Amino acid sequence: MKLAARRCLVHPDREAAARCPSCHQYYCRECVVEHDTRFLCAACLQKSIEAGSRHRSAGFDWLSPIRLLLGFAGAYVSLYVIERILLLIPINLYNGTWF
Amino acid sequence: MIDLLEEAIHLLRRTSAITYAYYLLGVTPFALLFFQLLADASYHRYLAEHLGDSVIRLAVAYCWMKGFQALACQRLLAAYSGEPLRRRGPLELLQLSSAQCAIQPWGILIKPMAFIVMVPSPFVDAFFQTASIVITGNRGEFMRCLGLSGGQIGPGLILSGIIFAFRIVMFVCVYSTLAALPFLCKMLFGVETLLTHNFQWLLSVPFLLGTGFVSYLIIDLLLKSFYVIRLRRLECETSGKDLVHRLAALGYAVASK
Repeated sequence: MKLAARRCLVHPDREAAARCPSCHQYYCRECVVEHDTRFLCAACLQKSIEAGSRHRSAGFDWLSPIRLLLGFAGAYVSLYVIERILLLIPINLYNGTWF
Repeated sequence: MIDLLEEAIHLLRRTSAITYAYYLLGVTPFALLFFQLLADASYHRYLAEHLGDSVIRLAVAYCWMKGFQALACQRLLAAYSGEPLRRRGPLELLQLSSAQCAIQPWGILIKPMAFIVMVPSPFVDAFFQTASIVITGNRGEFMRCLGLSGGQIGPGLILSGIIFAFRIVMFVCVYSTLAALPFLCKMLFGVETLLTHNFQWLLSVPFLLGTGFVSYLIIDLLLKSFYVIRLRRLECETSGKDLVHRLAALGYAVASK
């Protein structure tokens, strides 16, 4: 059956404008919303957002300590170079007696 | 470019004091340790003996600073977009700080090198500033950050030039204020210090570097605000998020009347 012949699941008096790719039901233009380049119905949108937030906060990320160590090593090397450069500056520049 | 900078200043004006508190909380330990380092460097032998301890302390403070700067950027982004700020649990905070720590320290070495070569400098600056906002420890953010940092070199060089001019003006302001303080204290309250006996300290390396660092941090906040606005605009160009948010706010305003 063509899309124009379908009716909205929530508003049966309206013709369907889109089909939710998640639940495969037909909805009018008021009942769908664009999310991540897809048109989803309100229920599927809610599920998608909840799934996303669950995925984001899913337990302990084992890469975190490795990243911390890597970053700390980067900071150590960079700051060591800076301190070595500071040691190369003559002492009379430090106490302002150079001029 | 100029209108973006104006908007960045406006964003800093209307953002909450908590954003500044986050920024200061992050920056203060590193700044104090950096001043201590400069003081130690005045006595070459002392710094040479304690180089390892000093570097470790500074590295920890640097990672701490970058973590808090990222949190301040998240608040700036929320203030600009008007969207609610997402609350983060301890694990998410650890994830964010570790991701920031993994990237930002390399900027200490890469940024000066890029500045000397000049041409990649706008891209490198944009990458590290965008990383403060975008990278929270989730997958795909590094590539997204790389994509968002790219762009034409011309406008990037103009921005670098403007920011460099801002930094010089800020340096002169901070330098003159700090230089005048001991003499003002002497004139107004009769407080005599070592600093009022001679003018040599005004040309000493620790004073010049310390002043430069303070002015760098002040302009860095403006730059972060600038990149928050740039990032939001780039994202909204394709997603239309800003319009959706404005329409939602309009609908709420109409409904509440």
